[in-house]
Amino acid sequence: MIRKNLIPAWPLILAMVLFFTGPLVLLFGISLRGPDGSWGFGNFATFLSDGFSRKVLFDTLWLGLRVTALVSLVCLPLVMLYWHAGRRMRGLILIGTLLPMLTSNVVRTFAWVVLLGRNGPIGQSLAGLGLVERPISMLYTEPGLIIALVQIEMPFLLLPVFAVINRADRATLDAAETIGAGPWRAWFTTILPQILPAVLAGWVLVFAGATTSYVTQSVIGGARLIFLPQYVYRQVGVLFQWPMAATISILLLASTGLVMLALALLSRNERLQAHG
Amino acid sequence: MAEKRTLEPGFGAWSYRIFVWGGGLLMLAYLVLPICVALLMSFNSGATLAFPPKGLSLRWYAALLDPVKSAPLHLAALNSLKVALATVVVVTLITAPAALALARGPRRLTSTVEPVLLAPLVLPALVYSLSALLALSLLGLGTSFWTILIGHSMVFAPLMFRTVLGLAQRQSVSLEEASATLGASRLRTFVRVSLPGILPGVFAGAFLVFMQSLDNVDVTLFLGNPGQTMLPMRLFAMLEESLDGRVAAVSGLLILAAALLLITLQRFGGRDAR
Amino acid sequence: MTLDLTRRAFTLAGLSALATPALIRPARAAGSKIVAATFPGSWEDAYRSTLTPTQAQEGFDLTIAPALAQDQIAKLMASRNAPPYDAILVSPGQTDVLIRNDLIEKIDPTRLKNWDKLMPAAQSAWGPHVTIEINGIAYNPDMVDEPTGYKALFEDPQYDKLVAFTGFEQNAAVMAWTEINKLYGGSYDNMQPVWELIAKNIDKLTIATSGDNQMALYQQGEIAVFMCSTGNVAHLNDLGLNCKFAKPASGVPAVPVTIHMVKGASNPDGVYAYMDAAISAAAQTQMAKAPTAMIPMNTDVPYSDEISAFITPEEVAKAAYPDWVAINKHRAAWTEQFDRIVAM
Repeated sequence: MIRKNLIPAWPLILAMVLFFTGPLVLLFGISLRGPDGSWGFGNFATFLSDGFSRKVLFDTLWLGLRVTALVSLVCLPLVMLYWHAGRRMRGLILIGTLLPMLTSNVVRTFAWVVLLGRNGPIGQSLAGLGLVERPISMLYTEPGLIIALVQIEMPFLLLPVFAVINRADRATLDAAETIGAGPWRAWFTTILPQILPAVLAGWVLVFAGATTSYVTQSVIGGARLIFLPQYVYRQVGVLFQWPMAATISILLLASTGLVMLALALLSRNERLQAHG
Repeated sequence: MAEKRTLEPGFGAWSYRIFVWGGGLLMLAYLVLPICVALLMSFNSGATLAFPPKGLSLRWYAALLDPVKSAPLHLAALNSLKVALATVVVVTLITAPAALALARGPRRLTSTVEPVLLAPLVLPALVYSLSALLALSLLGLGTSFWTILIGHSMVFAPLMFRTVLGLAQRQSVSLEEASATLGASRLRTFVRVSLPGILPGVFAGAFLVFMQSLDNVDVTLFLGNPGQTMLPMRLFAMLEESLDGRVAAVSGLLILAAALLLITLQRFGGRDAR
Repeated sequence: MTLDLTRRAFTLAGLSALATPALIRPARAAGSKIVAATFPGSWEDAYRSTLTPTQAQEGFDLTIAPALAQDQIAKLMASRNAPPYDAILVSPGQTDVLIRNDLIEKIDPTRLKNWDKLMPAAQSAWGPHVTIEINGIAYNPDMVDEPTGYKALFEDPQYDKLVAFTGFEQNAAVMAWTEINKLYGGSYDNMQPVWELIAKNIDKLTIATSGDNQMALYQQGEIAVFMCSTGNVAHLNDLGLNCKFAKPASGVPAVPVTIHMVKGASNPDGVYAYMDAAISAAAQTQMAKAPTAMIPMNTDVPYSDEISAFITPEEVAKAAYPDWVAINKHRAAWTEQFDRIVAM
């Protein structure tokens, strides 16, 4: 019984290697195939030497970072409220967080189509207040896309944080307050460090979600805001450029992977780990 | 920022309360209101989706249930249910035993294998789906129910792996050893001791896999078989192409389902011995 | 992470999982099943409601799979050895691509009972034309005046911010943009005038993600004008919206729509039966009515009132039929160029 039986793990590992890693390796192989049939990093050079393609890559990462930052900002008061709230209020906040997550992505996107449209409440009230001449539409604009993405991605930061904040140690906060720290200082120096590892985990999920959400990016962002997922799809679906699609995919994988790796390394940081 | 506040405790406490309660409630509204709007729009009686709705009616729900006009939608829903259920079965069968075995295995092995097995969770599913299509193309195979099933199983397996592994690691090994030393067979030990311990994790994982599979666009975008439309693809197309009130009605139904589920959970949670 | 919350109530999911095997039935006997691609939206609805029942009577299980023309080709290219469609539905722009890539087959007209009923122009060696799409400008009379032509959309300020266009992956857009290009002095080999025009006016235009996406935008009041086919207007009218069809002064661009037999189709008999049904008098009469208002190719079928409200047979004959072979030489470059100009 001391020798552990690892046989049950093999089907999963084999399936992952065969059906998940395998195709990705193949994708990398295909990305090396040039338009003239030669092999090499020609597609990567073509992509990176093209100003427009570079802009799409940059815009995608920039979108992810902005959404992640805004989600953090927007979630902060809500997390603090959750921390201070009683049992009932906590239940309410939890339901409020799970509800948008459990409804389909299409539903969330649909809601924002209505809200951001010319006849939606935002456009109408701006016109009603006389701020703009006729109702404006925020659909197909970058601010509109970010407003929608932030709401859609919020639960991915909130839930990991809520899961650990239950276990956060209240005594240190009380201690901080007894020695005269104000509520701001007490919260930020005692509670925040305890939830930081969860925040980092949430950031990875939010960033991954925002950069690769094909549906929201195209339905709310429209044709004029091009990010890597649509760029990949267009190479395949419109231009039939398979190797180029593979190249862009690898770049999407590598660039988002790097950002997430940086976040993951940050979360392994010893000082952070000590509190977790 | 914090230092400044402490100079004036009264202001600090005051601003803190406003930030926490005012800001917190405002952000809660930001999180929840869009869902309420989607629900409200589903009772809209007009042909256009103007907000606020011009009148209230159940016409879009009626249109949604119409067996002739909405036949493609019903078929797509059935296809999606099939795939989601099959994915849950496949994922459970290959992932739960693996998670259990790895939890009992050498620590170092687990910590090496774990990130690899969790990778599909954060890698863009769209990229995976494209690569799988290229692989199929190279093998001369076409897309089918099975390609979607394999794609979903690979991408969502980590959800179950994580939930089961977490529970299995917390479970005491000594209990299993005790059972074994007392002469219980391996199977008996598994059924009576190991299984009950990880079952909540399996259920939680199954639930997450089911929901994610039902809602997936990225994997289906490339791996989907054109002759077999899936529900989210169908809804996505309706949303982008021929915005009709049925999208709102589907949204309404999904919101109600989610809300019912949450209320049920909350009820169960209340009674559960915490 | 979040699993403590959801731990308890999964009996539900577990129970439903037990029901799975019953849900997955083996596919029906191969041979009788055919998958035919059509454009999404009203095309799909019309083909499914008109043709699926009649095909079922003949013993063919017809699945209508919606996809834009370019997507149909992409899917065919991805799985050459196991084509996902038996029949596809595209216009000459894509037909040319399909022939060059060896993805479709010539048909044997003797196998179509209704072949001789087709107008001669609709009898193509690569498959029957099922209709001709007439393009023009859709506008909302409640919001703007009838546009006199394409130029007005750029030059008359009343249309500012209310006009939608799409990129060059859409056939209708290719036709509109090349016509506009001509009006501003360009040609197929010189698109510079239209690029300059787009760049100058981009902030006044809405760029839709697809042709049908324009209808969704119109429905919500986001736009009041878009480049349409008569079918788009008929569809919007059917939804109860006020929408009119304007014929550009420079002429109406027109494009036939053809059903092709996919090379390696699993069930050629089924494809012939499907083609025959699509050009039959019964189906063509049905589809000539609202909401599709498709111009019939079957000579036994007269123009419906809905079609006559848009156009006469004489005007269809005089319409502008673009040179797709010339267009296809540039199309990929145009598509990329357009995306670059409009990108924010």
